Amino acid sequence: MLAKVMFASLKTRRTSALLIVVAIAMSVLMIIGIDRVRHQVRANFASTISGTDLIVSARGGPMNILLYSVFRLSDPTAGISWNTVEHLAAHRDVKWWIPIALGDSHRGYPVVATNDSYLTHYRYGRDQRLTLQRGSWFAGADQAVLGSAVATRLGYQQGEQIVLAHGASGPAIVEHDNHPFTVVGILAPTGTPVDQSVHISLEGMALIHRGGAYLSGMPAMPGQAMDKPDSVNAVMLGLERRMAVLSLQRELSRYDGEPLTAIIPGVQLQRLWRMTAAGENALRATSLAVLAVALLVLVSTVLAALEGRRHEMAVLRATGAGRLAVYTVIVGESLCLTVLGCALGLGVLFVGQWGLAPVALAEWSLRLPDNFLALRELPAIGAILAAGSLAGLIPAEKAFRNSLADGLTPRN
Amino acid sequence: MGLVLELNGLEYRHPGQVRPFLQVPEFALQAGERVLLHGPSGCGKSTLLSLITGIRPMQCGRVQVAGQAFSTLSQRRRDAFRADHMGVIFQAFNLLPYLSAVDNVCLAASFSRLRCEREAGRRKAQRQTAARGLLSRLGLDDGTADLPAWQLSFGQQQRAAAARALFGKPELIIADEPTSALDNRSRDTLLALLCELCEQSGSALLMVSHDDQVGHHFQRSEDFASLAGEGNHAC
Repeated sequence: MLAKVMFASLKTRRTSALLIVVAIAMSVLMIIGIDRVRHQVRANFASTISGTDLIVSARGGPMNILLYSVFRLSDPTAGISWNTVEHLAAHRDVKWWIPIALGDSHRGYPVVATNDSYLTHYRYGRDQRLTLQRGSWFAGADQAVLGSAVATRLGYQQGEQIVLAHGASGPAIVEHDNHPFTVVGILAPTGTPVDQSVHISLEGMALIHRGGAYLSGMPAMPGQAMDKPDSVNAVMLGLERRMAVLSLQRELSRYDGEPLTAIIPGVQLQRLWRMTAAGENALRATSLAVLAVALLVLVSTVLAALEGRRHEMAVLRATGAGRLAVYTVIVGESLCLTVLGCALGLGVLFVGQWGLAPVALAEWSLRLPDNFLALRELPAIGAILAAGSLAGLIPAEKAFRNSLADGLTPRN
Repeated sequence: MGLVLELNGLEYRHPGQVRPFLQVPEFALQAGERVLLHGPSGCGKSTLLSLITGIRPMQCGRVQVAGQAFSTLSQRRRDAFRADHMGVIFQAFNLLPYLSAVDNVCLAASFSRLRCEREAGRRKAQRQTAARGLLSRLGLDDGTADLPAWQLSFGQQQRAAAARALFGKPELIIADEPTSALDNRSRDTLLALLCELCEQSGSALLMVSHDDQVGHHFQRSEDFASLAGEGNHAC
């Protein structure tokens, strides 16, 4: 009967009830949404690269090495010589290796010169490998493979002729325009910086830098092979045994040929993430503020509605309703509104992330979650529900006290 | 039969005031007795009823209802006791506007198992049938009884309120000027019905009103001022 009273009473105030539900839904949407984005950004970030045990580069700051080799953000330091690369490739602990040569760009997108190992050994996320969405991996010095975002943003198809520019970014000062590349393949989206890269072969890079425009007229140096560059910027290593990571890292720091630094990508990724923790905390604080506002709205609306419900309370009290019944009706109402708000918020979020997922991956290289509710979000939802029903306690107590003061005849 | 209501040394002060607003040294109601208290507006009639029903907390004095020292009970037990043994009719706004008249009558049963079992069985259908029976005796047919209360006329609302108060034959019916907004004919019809049903169910009726013309419906009619004793309160 009390439930009937509660729902019937709510129905007569459905406009304001609906507004409360929407306000709570909005804050649930914000809180859980922000939490998911935060979590997903972190997960995306941590899964930018996986499976690679060491990244070897010329001596430099570990963070800088991570930034240019994995994120292609910072400018590479000096290269390491091809001899060193061959030494690494032949090392007994090394299972596979991926050379990375940087320094060119195409309309702002970094160019990565590498070899076939990139396609076979590069891993991101949960041990996911790169796949080609269309076409094939490059097989010649004049072929290029585009990351998915490059292809979408620039509207390139297979067979497109592209010209690379010297320099990592900005307006092209020197273009290698007498050595155009043909797009032969486009990679599937990964949500990592790979999407933003143009991939060519090491031979291709060697070719443009020797015979290209900015060295035009100069003959290739005798005795130098045309099929490999004299240096690369970094080498990613996969080891036979992960146990060997630390010893190899130490060994490489004492390498005789040239000064080297080897970084463990996972460790540096964590350090980098910690540097961005302030932003993460700001997001969390924002969502808490949103929740507080929504609950205040709930309390104040229920309180405001109470004035109009004094007669209702007097009738209930006169027919024998005690404190428990008054509490049931009012706290039950706010709990009911909070539950509806949570359900609505989660529903909208679910539909939203489902609808936005393709866009987010293509445009922002962000993988959105596809779940309705994650286990780790339950405490937050529980807190919202608890806070929602607690918010009903204040009006419930006030209603009870009003009824004591009003006696049988409430005054409006 | 004994006393259904007994008041002793009742005093009520509004917060912050020294002089008592209300003083009732002694008052009693026999079982099944129908009594009218009349007096001008604002002299504390409603306050007295709030104290008798135990909705307003007692400050001083003793109230005994159906042999139970009502005023010494805890607030929670008082609420439960009121649900079991009293029916209340207000001047207006008696019903929850969004429930039907039948549901409003059944509301009384939902707070009191005793009254529920006395009137009908525990089953919801039985309760509804009993409520409809009571409503039809008060002149509300089934079609009207199913309308939401806000669609009823004022007279119909007061009849439904009377049905709710009478449901389950409580020992004491408290009525706070239930007819003050009705014309004389409707007033007399409603009071006649109310008295008749009280008689049938053996409930005592205590009604307050500013209108002493309704006195003939009652076995006893008392001036509220005389109740208050030696002129402590200027009515």
